[in-house]
Amino acid sequence: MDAVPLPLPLPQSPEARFAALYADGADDVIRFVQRRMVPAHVEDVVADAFLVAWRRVEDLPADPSEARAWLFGIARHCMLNATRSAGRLEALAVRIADAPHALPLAATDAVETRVDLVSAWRRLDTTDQETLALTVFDELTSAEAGQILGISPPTYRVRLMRARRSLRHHLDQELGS
Amino acid sequence: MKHLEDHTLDRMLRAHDAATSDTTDLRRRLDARLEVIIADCAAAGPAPATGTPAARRRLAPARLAGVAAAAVAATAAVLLLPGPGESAAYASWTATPQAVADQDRDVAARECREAQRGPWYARTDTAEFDAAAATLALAERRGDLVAVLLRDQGPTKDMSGFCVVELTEGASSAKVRDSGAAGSLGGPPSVAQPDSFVEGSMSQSGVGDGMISMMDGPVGDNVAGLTIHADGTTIEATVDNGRYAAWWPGRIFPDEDTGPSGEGGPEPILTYDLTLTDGTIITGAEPTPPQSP
Repeated sequence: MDAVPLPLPLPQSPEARFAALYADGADDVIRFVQRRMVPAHVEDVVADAFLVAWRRVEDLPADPSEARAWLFGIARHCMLNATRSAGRLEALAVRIADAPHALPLAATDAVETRVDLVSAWRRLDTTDQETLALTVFDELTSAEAGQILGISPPTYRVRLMRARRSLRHHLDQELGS
Repeated sequence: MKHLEDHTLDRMLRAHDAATSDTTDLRRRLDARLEVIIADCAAAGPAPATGTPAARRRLAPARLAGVAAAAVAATAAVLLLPGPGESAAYASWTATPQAVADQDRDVAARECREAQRGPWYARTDTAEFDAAAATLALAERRGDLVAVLLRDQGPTKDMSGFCVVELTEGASSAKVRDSGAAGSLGGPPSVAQPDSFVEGSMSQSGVGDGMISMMDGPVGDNVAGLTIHADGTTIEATVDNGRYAAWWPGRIFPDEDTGPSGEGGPEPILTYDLTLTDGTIITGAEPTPPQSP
């Protein structure tokens, strides 16, 4: 009979749990923040997010997927606080690069389509940008994305569908102009 | 326009991801910041509801636990596997070592201690190799690369910490290219016979062209030099203060993925020439085996 690997025991102390969270999640959080903040503020926001995570480490979910979403949720609140100037900010704008980087692009991804895609993205409202980014860039499930936004997975899926529709609409307008 | 499928739209968007793939520099700065923040929080009494004592505490080990366990289990020469090597980084390596300036030695030793301690989230108070307590045994330069050997030894400990540090002459900052700690626990350090040397600690890391090997050990009083032949590469070791040390881009052991050496473990694929203080050269010299505690 094949040996079945035993699950690793959960670290017991708050310090050990936090250390494991940082070791496993820091790179993901850095990229999550890089998509939403100008480079000069990324380091401060990530450091703030982990400081909050440390203070709330007793709430850290045991499930790795939930823990990642929990951490992203904290980082999102830190960004909302950092960018809030007047009034209440409900969603974060998501930055995208002007030029595509080294990912292989299909021949059908014509240059003019990609340029218009960037323009279309920037015409989306921040709620649509944030909704799409959680799936496309952060590669979260509907449950994880819903957890971060404080909404149910079905509600998130509806938002995602609408956000895609909006992006296509703006893209069609860009290509037709 | 033609309707783009969801997956096509997503793929095109991902090509414009604003996040960077290399977070190394940012991680290094964050590591330093978080270490201070968490130490201060622990000292002040952390917010978690459990109410940790107010004493300053160091974080428990996380990722490196497995590595430390490998060192504990060994009784003779052991092998630890540090991070992957970087072949391009070793281009300036020379087979014959040069002396290293005092300032460069101090910079490299400082960086090596930090590297041996590891990042704050993976440190342990019970490390088999205590980088803070270890003494600088020797240092050498090969091109732009300075090797540092730290020794942590006692009645029941015979451990070496080895680093290869990229450091141009006179620079104030350095980058540790590879580091590892190896040795044995449970007995005193090995001692070499007057006309011999001991195959001491060895470490091999990386894969393919990026492989790097490090070794060190004691030499007898009559030994002036040691030449190592390793799979087509000839290396002049540095001999100083009754100890030799050498490193090279290449291998010690026949397999890339191997466990601790010593009794029952992999055998090194090395041969040696020993030069004695009277000028005698012993070709194919047999090393003294490491002593079992």
